[in-house]
Amino acid sequence: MRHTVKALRLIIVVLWLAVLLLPITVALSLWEIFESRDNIRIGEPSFSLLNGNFSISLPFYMNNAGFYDISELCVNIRIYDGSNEILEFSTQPLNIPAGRIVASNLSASVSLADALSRDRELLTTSKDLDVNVALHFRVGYVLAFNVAGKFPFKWGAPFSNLNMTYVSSNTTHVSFEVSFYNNAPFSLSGPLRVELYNLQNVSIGSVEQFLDVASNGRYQELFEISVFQASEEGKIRLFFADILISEKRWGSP
Amino acid sequence: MNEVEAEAKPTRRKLVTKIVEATVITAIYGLVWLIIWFLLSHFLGPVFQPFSTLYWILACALLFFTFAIKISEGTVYKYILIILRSFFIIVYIIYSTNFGIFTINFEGFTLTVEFIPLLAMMVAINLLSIANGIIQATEFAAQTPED
Repeated sequence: MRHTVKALRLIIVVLWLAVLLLPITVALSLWEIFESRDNIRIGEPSFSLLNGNFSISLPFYMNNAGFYDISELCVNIRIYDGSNEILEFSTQPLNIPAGRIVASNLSASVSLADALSRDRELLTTSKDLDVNVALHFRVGYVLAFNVAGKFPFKWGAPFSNLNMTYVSSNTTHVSFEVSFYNNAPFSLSGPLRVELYNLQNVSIGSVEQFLDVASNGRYQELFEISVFQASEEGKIRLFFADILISEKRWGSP
Repeated sequence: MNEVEAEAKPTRRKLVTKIVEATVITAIYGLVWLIIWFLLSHFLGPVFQPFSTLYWILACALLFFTFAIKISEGTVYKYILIILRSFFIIVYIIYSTNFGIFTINFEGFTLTVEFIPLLAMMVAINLLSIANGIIQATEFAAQTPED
Protein backbone atom coordinates (compact mmCIF):
# COMPACT_ATOMS: atom_id res chain seq x y z
CA MET A 1 0.00 0.00 0.00
CA ARG A 2 2.87 2.36 0.78
CA HIS A 3 4.18 2.01 -2.79
CA THR A 4 0.71 2.77 -4.15
CA VAL A 5 0.48 5.88 -1.95
CA LYS A 6 3.98 6.99 -3.05
CA ALA A 7 3.16 6.39 -6.72
CA LEU A 8 -0.11 8.31 -6.39
CA ARG A 9 1.66 11.22 -4.71
CA LEU A 10 4.25 11.31 -7.50
CA ILE A 11 1.54 11.26 -10.18
CA ILE A 12 -0.35 14.05 -8.37
CA VAL A 13 2.80 16.22 -8.15
CA VAL A 14 3.66 15.63 -11.84
CA LEU A 15 0.10 16.41 -12.95
CA TRP A 16 -0.06 19.58 -10.83
CA LEU A 17 3.24 20.71 -12.37
CA ALA A 18 1.83 20.07 -15.85
CA VAL A 19 -1.39 21.93 -15.03
CA LEU A 20 0.54 24.93 -13.68
CA LEU A 21 3.19 24.95 -16.41
CA LEU A 22 0.76 24.75 -19.32
CA PRO A 23 -0.89 28.20 -18.80
CA ILE A 24 2.52 29.75 -18.11
CA THR A 25 4.03 28.36 -21.33
CA VAL A 26 0.89 29.32 -23.29
CA ALA A 27 1.20 32.89 -21.92
CA LEU A 28 4.90 32.96 -22.91
CA SER A 29 4.02 31.62 -26.35
CA LEU A 30 1.41 34.35 -26.86
CA TRP A 31 3.89 36.93 -25.59
CA GLU A 32 6.39 35.74 -28.24
CA ILE A 33 3.75 36.32 -30.91
CA PHE A 34 2.32 39.63 -29.72
CA GLU A 35 5.54 41.34 -28.55
CA SER A 36 6.45 42.16 -32.15
CA ARG A 37 3.92 44.15 -34.18
CA ASP A 38 5.20 42.59 -37.38
CA ASN A 39 3.98 39.14 -36.33
CA ILE A 40 0.31 39.99 -36.93
CA ARG A 41 -1.08 42.22 -39.63
CA ILE A 42 -4.72 42.76 -40.46
CA GLY A 43 -5.59 44.68 -43.62
CA GLU A 44 -8.56 46.84 -44.55
CA PRO A 45 -11.78 44.83 -44.81
CA SER A 46 -13.48 44.82 -48.19
CA PHE A 47 -17.18 44.25 -48.76
CA SER A 48 -19.00 43.11 -51.85
CA LEU A 49 -22.52 42.31 -52.87
CA LEU A 50 -22.70 39.93 -55.80
CA ASN A 51 -25.71 37.95 -56.97
CA GLY A 52 -27.55 38.19 -53.69
CA ASN A 53 -24.57 37.26 -51.51
CA PHE A 54 -23.02 39.77 -49.16
CA SER A 55 -19.31 39.02 -48.61
CA ILE A 56 -16.61 40.37 -46.36
CA SER A 57 -12.90 39.76 -46.82
CA LEU A 58 -10.16 40.59 -44.33
CA PRO A 59 -6.50 40.24 -45.40
CA PHE A 60 -4.63 38.50 -42.58
CA TYR A 61 -0.97 37.77 -41.95
CA MET A 62 0.48 35.95 -38.97
CA ASN A 63 3.90 34.70 -38.00
CA ASN A 64 3.41 32.11 -35.28
CA ALA A 65 6.61 32.80 -33.35
CA GLY A 66 5.30 30.95 -30.30
CA PHE A 67 5.91 27.31 -29.40
CA TYR A 68 2.33 26.04 -29.71
CA ASP A 69 0.15 25.54 -32.77
CA ILE A 70 -2.69 28.00 -33.14
CA SER A 71 -5.89 26.43 -34.39
CA GLU A 72 -9.50 27.43 -35.08
CA LEU A 73 -8.48 31.04 -35.70
CA CYS A 74 -11.58 32.80 -36.95
CA VAL A 75 -13.47 36.05 -36.77
CA ASN A 76 -17.16 36.18 -35.99
CA ILE A 77 -19.11 39.32 -36.80
CA ARG A 78 -22.68 39.88 -35.64
CA ILE A 79 -24.64 42.94 -36.63
CA TYR A 80 -27.52 44.07 -34.43
CA ASP A 81 -30.29 46.61 -34.83
CA GLY A 82 -31.06 47.20 -31.15
CA SER A 83 -31.51 43.70 -29.78
CA ASN A 84 -32.45 42.20 -33.14
CA GLU A 85 -29.63 40.22 -34.78
CA ILE A 86 -29.71 40.87 -38.51
CA LEU A 87 -26.45 39.49 -39.84
CA GLU A 88 -23.86 36.95 -38.76
CA PHE A 89 -20.56 36.23 -40.49
CA SER A 90 -18.08 33.57 -39.50
CA THR A 91 -14.82 33.25 -41.36
CA GLN A 92 -13.35 29.86 -42.21
CA PRO A 93 -11.12 28.64 -39.35
CA LEU A 94 -7.36 28.88 -39.95
CA ASN A 95 -4.67 26.63 -38.47
CA ILE A 96 -1.19 28.08 -37.99
CA PRO A 97 1.44 25.55 -36.87
CA ALA A 98 4.21 26.76 -34.55
CA GLY A 99 7.04 28.50 -36.40
CA ARG A 100 5.03 28.97 -39.60
CA ILE A 101 3.89 32.12 -41.42
CA VAL A 102 0.39 32.29 -42.82
CA ALA A 103 -0.86 34.99 -45.18
CA SER A 104 -4.48 34.50 -46.04
CA ASN A 105 -7.85 36.11 -46.38
CA LEU A 106 -10.38 35.71 -43.63
CA SER A 107 -13.54 35.71 -45.67
CA ALA A 108 -17.20 35.06 -45.07
CA SER A 109 -20.41 35.54 -46.95
CA VAL A 110 -24.06 35.58 -46.10
CA SER A 111 -27.19 35.41 -48.22
CA LEU A 112 -28.76 38.84 -48.59
CA ALA A 113 -32.23 37.27 -48.70
CA ASP A 114 -31.58 35.69 -45.29
CA ALA A 115 -30.46 39.02 -43.80
CA LEU A 116 -33.41 40.87 -45.28
CA SER A 117 -35.87 38.37 -43.89
CA ARG A 118 -34.86 39.82 -40.50
CA ASP A 119 -34.89 43.50 -41.47
CA ARG A 120 -36.23 44.66 -44.85
CA GLU A 121 -35.55 48.33 -44.15
CA LEU A 122 -31.79 47.76 -44.46
CA LEU A 123 -31.98 48.07 -48.25
CA THR A 124 -33.59 51.47 -48.35
CA THR A 125 -32.93 53.08 -44.94
CA SER A 126 -29.55 54.07 -43.48
CA LYS A 127 -29.31 53.19 -39.79
CA ASP A 128 -27.08 53.23 -36.73
CA LEU A 129 -26.28 49.59 -35.97
CA ASP A 130 -24.13 47.75 -33.43
CA VAL A 131 -21.41 45.35 -34.50
CA ASN A 132 -20.05 42.61 -32.28
CA VAL A 133 -16.63 41.47 -33.47
CA ALA A 134 -15.12 38.39 -31.85
CA LEU A 135 -11.70 36.88 -32.50
CA HIS A 136 -11.45 33.22 -31.55
CA PHE A 137 -8.38 30.99 -31.45
CA ARG A 138 -7.10 27.91 -29.65
CA VAL A 139 -3.52 27.55 -28.41
CA GLY A 140 -1.94 24.12 -28.21
CA TYR A 141 -5.38 22.56 -28.87
CA VAL A 142 -6.10 23.00 -25.12
CA LEU A 143 -6.74 26.64 -24.25
CA ALA A 144 -9.24 28.63 -26.30
CA PHE A 145 -9.36 32.42 -26.29
CA ASN A 146 -12.16 34.65 -27.42
CA VAL A 147 -11.79 38.43 -27.51
CA ALA A 148 -15.00 40.30 -28.27
CA GLY A 149 -15.84 43.96 -28.58
CA LYS A 150 -18.94 45.96 -29.47
CA PHE A 151 -18.74 48.93 -31.80
CA PRO A 152 -21.28 51.35 -33.31
CA PHE A 153 -21.63 51.06 -37.09
CA LYS A 154 -23.30 53.44 -39.49
CA TRP A 155 -25.08 51.37 -42.10
CA GLY A 156 -25.50 53.06 -45.47
CA ALA A 157 -28.45 51.65 -47.38
CA PRO A 158 -27.61 50.43 -50.90
CA PHE A 159 -30.94 51.72 -52.26
CA SER A 160 -31.16 55.08 -50.47
CA ASN A 161 -33.66 57.67 -51.75
CA LEU A 162 -35.21 55.09 -54.04
CA ASN A 163 -37.56 56.62 -56.60
CA MET A 164 -39.65 54.78 -59.16
CA THR A 165 -41.30 57.54 -61.16
CA TYR A 166 -43.99 56.88 -63.74
CA VAL A 167 -43.05 58.74 -66.93
CA SER A 168 -45.48 57.77 -69.68
CA SER A 169 -47.49 54.93 -71.17
CA ASN A 170 -49.09 53.91 -74.43
CA THR A 171 -50.80 50.74 -75.62
CA THR A 172 -47.52 48.81 -75.94
CA HIS A 173 -45.07 50.41 -73.48
CA VAL A 174 -44.94 51.87 -69.99
CA SER A 175 -41.94 54.01 -69.01
CA PHE A 176 -40.50 54.39 -65.52
CA GLU A 177 -37.51 56.16 -64.20
CA VAL A 178 -35.67 54.38 -61.38
CA SER A 179 -33.08 56.22 -59.32
CA PHE A 180 -31.27 55.68 -56.02
CA TYR A 181 -28.01 56.34 -54.18
CA ASN A 182 -25.77 53.49 -53.16
CA ASN A 183 -24.72 54.64 -49.69
CA ALA A 184 -23.40 51.18 -48.76
CA PRO A 185 -19.66 50.59 -48.26
CA PHE A 186 -19.68 48.14 -51.17
CA SER A 187 -20.52 48.30 -54.86
CA LEU A 188 -23.81 46.85 -56.07
CA SER A 189 -23.54 44.30 -58.79
CA GLY A 190 -26.34 42.08 -60.05
CA PRO A 191 -29.57 41.95 -62.02
CA LEU A 192 -32.19 44.65 -61.37
CA ARG A 193 -35.69 43.73 -62.52
CA VAL A 194 -38.80 45.86 -62.82
CA GLU A 195 -42.15 44.05 -62.93
CA LEU A 196 -45.48 45.64 -63.75
CA TYR A 197 -48.85 44.38 -62.57
CA ASN A 198 -52.37 45.52 -63.32
CA LEU A 199 -54.95 46.21 -60.60
CA GLN A 200 -55.95 42.54 -60.60
CA ASN A 201 -52.33 41.70 -59.66
CA VAL A 202 -51.67 40.01 -63.01
CA SER A 203 -48.19 40.50 -64.44
CA ILE A 204 -48.34 42.57 -67.61
CA GLY A 205 -44.64 43.00 -68.32
CA SER A 206 -41.12 43.08 -66.96
CA VAL A 207 -37.64 44.19 -67.87
CA GLU A 208 -34.25 43.32 -66.45
CA GLN A 209 -30.96 45.16 -66.46
CA PHE A 210 -27.57 44.26 -65.05
CA LEU A 211 -26.41 47.04 -62.78
CA ASP A 212 -23.01 47.89 -61.39
CA VAL A 213 -23.08 50.87 -59.04
CA ALA A 214 -19.98 51.88 -57.09
CA SER A 215 -20.11 52.69 -53.39
CA ASN A 216 -21.51 56.21 -52.89
CA GLY A 217 -22.56 56.24 -56.54
CA ARG A 218 -25.91 57.29 -58.01
CA TYR A 219 -28.03 55.19 -60.31
CA GLN A 220 -30.63 56.66 -62.65
CA GLU A 221 -32.13 54.77 -65.55
CA LEU A 222 -35.21 54.89 -67.70
CA PHE A 223 -37.01 51.56 -68.05
CA GLU A 224 -39.29 51.05 -71.06
CA ILE A 225 -41.39 48.03 -70.34
CA SER A 226 -43.28 46.42 -73.17
CA VAL A 227 -46.69 45.36 -71.91
CA PHE A 228 -48.99 42.78 -73.49
CA GLN A 229 -52.11 44.27 -71.91
CA ALA A 230 -52.80 47.99 -71.89
CA SER A 231 -53.21 49.41 -68.41
CA GLU A 232 -53.06 52.87 -66.94
CA GLU A 233 -52.59 51.91 -63.37
CA GLY A 234 -51.45 49.03 -61.22
CA LYS A 235 -48.43 48.01 -59.17
CA ILE A 236 -44.72 48.20 -59.84
CA ARG A 237 -42.22 45.92 -58.12
CA LEU A 238 -38.48 46.34 -58.10
CA PHE A 239 -36.25 43.28 -57.56
CA PHE A 240 -32.52 43.00 -57.08
CA ALA A 241 -31.10 39.49 -57.47
CA ASP A 242 -34.64 38.09 -57.01
CA ILE A 243 -35.07 40.03 -53.74
CA LEU A 244 -38.03 42.38 -53.57
CA ILE A 245 -36.72 45.88 -52.88
CA SER A 246 -39.84 47.97 -53.18
CA GLU A 247 -43.45 47.85 -54.31
CA LYS A 248 -45.75 50.76 -55.04
CA ARG A 249 -48.82 51.79 -57.00
CA TRP A 250 -48.44 53.49 -60.33
CA GLY A 251 -50.76 55.33 -62.71
CA SER A 252 -53.63 57.72 -62.19
CA PRO A 253 -54.70 58.14 -58.56
CA MET B 1 -7.13 10.35 40.84
CA ASN B 2 -3.51 11.51 40.89
CA GLU B 3 -2.57 8.82 38.36
CA VAL B 4 -5.30 10.00 35.98
CA GLU B 5 -4.18 13.61 36.35
CA ALA B 6 -0.57 12.61 35.69
CA GLU B 7 -1.64 10.81 32.49
CA ALA B 8 -3.80 13.73 31.30
CA LYS B 9 -1.03 16.34 31.66
CA PRO B 10 1.22 15.18 28.75
CA THR B 11 -1.88 14.68 26.58
CA ARG B 12 -3.00 18.26 27.30
CA ARG B 13 0.54 19.52 26.67
CA LYS B 14 0.62 17.57 23.40
CA LEU B 15 -2.70 19.13 22.35
CA VAL B 16 -1.50 22.64 23.22
CA THR B 17 1.72 22.05 21.23
CA LYS B 18 -0.36 20.78 18.29
CA ILE B 19 -2.63 23.84 18.41
CA VAL B 20 0.34 26.22 18.58
CA GLU B 21 2.07 24.41 15.73
CA ALA B 22 -1.11 24.40 13.61
CA THR B 23 -1.71 28.10 14.34
CA VAL B 24 1.84 29.06 13.34
CA ILE B 25 1.69 27.03 10.10
CA THR B 26 -1.78 28.40 9.27
CA ALA B 27 -0.53 31.94 9.97
CA ILE B 28 2.43 31.42 7.60
CA TYR B 29 0.08 30.11 4.89
CA GLY B 30 -2.27 33.04 5.60
CA LEU B 31 0.62 35.45 5.09
CA VAL B 32 1.43 33.81 1.75
CA TRP B 33 -2.22 34.15 0.64
CA LEU B 34 -2.17 37.80 1.74
CA ILE B 35 1.04 38.54 -0.20
CA ILE B 36 -0.43 36.88 -3.33
CA TRP B 37 -3.61 38.96 -2.87
CA PHE B 38 -1.55 42.17 -2.58
CA LEU B 39 0.46 41.30 -5.70
CA LEU B 40 -2.65 40.41 -7.74
CA SER B 41 -4.51 43.55 -6.58
CA HIS B 42 -1.49 45.69 -7.38
CA PHE B 43 -0.65 44.30 -10.82
CA LEU B 44 -4.09 43.30 -12.12
CA GLY B 45 -6.13 45.96 -10.27
CA PRO B 46 -9.62 46.31 -11.76
CA VAL B 47 -9.36 42.95 -13.58
CA PHE B 48 -8.79 41.08 -10.30
CA GLN B 49 -11.30 43.05 -8.20
CA PRO B 50 -14.44 41.06 -9.20
CA PHE B 51 -12.67 37.83 -8.23
CA SER B 52 -11.56 39.09 -4.81
CA THR B 53 -14.44 37.37 -2.98
CA LEU B 54 -13.80 34.06 -4.75
CA TYR B 55 -10.11 34.37 -3.90
CA TRP B 56 -10.82 34.86 -0.18
CA ILE B 57 -13.32 31.99 -0.11
CA LEU B 58 -10.58 29.69 -1.45
CA ALA B 59 -7.94 31.15 0.88
CA CYS B 60 -10.11 30.88 4.03
CA ALA B 61 -11.29 27.34 3.18
CA LEU B 62 -7.75 26.11 2.51
CA LEU B 63 -6.46 27.82 5.69
CA PHE B 64 -9.22 26.10 7.66
CA PHE B 65 -8.24 22.72 6.14
CA THR B 66 -4.53 23.39 6.85
CA PHE B 67 -5.32 24.11 10.51
CA ALA B 68 -7.73 21.18 10.89
CA ILE B 69 -5.40 18.68 9.16
CA LYS B 70 -2.47 19.77 11.33
CA ILE B 71 -4.57 19.46 14.52
CA SER B 72 -5.88 16.02 13.55
CA GLU B 73 -2.45 14.58 12.74
CA GLY B 74 -2.07 11.06 14.11
CA THR B 75 -5.79 10.37 13.79
CA VAL B 76 -7.98 9.04 10.98
CA TYR B 77 -9.68 12.47 10.78
CA LYS B 78 -6.59 13.82 9.03
CA TYR B 79 -7.34 11.63 6.00
CA ILE B 80 -11.04 12.40 6.10
CA LEU B 81 -10.15 16.11 6.04
CA ILE B 82 -7.75 15.56 3.11
CA ILE B 83 -10.59 13.85 1.21
CA LEU B 84 -13.00 16.68 2.11
CA ARG B 85 -10.44 19.27 0.97
CA SER B 86 -10.16 17.56 -2.41
CA PHE B 87 -13.97 17.48 -2.72
CA PHE B 88 -14.11 21.16 -1.85
CA ILE B 89 -11.43 22.02 -4.47
CA ILE B 90 -13.33 20.07 -7.16
CA VAL B 91 -16.60 21.88 -6.41
CA TYR B 92 -14.82 25.23 -6.06
CA ILE B 93 -12.87 25.08 -9.34
CA ILE B 94 -15.92 23.91 -11.27
CA TYR B 95 -18.12 26.66 -9.79
CA SER B 96 -15.60 29.51 -9.81
CA THR B 97 -14.46 28.85 -13.38
CA ASN B 98 -18.02 28.40 -14.67
CA PHE B 99 -17.26 24.85 -15.87
CA GLY B 100 -13.94 25.89 -17.41
CA ILE B 101 -15.09 29.07 -19.13
CA PHE B 102 -13.61 32.16 -17.59
CA THR B 103 -14.83 35.61 -18.64
CA ILE B 104 -13.28 39.00 -17.92
CA ASN B 105 -14.84 42.31 -18.97
CA PHE B 106 -12.33 45.08 -19.44
CA GLU B 107 -12.78 48.53 -21.02
CA GLY B 108 -15.58 47.47 -23.36
CA PHE B 109 -13.90 44.23 -24.36
CA THR B 110 -14.77 40.74 -23.20
CA LEU B 111 -12.02 38.17 -22.91
CA THR B 112 -13.16 34.58 -22.57
CA VAL B 113 -10.70 31.81 -21.83
CA GLU B 114 -11.96 28.26 -22.25
CA PHE B 115 -9.86 25.65 -20.47
CA ILE B 116 -12.17 22.66 -20.12
CA PRO B 117 -9.37 20.09 -20.76
CA LEU B 118 -7.27 21.76 -18.06
CA LEU B 119 -10.24 21.78 -15.67
CA ALA B 120 -10.81 18.07 -16.38
CA MET B 121 -7.16 17.47 -15.50
CA MET B 122 -7.51 19.41 -12.22
CA VAL B 123 -10.62 17.41 -11.32
CA ALA B 124 -8.72 14.19 -12.15
CA ILE B 125 -5.83 15.25 -9.90
CA ASN B 126 -8.22 15.88 -7.01
CA LEU B 127 -9.94 12.53 -7.62
CA LEU B 128 -6.49 10.92 -7.39
CA SER B 129 -5.95 12.88 -4.19
CA ILE B 130 -9.25 11.48 -2.83
CA ALA B 131 -8.16 7.95 -3.78
CA ASN B 132 -4.83 8.58 -2.07
CA GLY B 133 -6.63 9.80 1.06
CA ILE B 134 -8.89 6.71 1.11
CA ILE B 135 -5.90 4.35 0.78
CA GLN B 136 -4.03 6.19 3.55
CA ALA B 137 -7.11 6.16 5.81
CA THR B 138 -7.57 2.41 5.22
CA GLU B 139 -3.89 1.79 5.93
CA PHE B 140 -4.10 3.88 9.11
CA ALA B 141 -7.24 2.09 10.32
CA ALA B 142 -5.63 -1.31 9.64
CA GLN B 143 -2.58 -0.49 11.77
CA THR B 144 -2.30 -2.23 15.14
CA PRO B 145 -0.93 -0.35 18.19
CA GLU B 146 2.35 -2.29 17.70
CA ASP B 147 2.76 -0.77 14.21
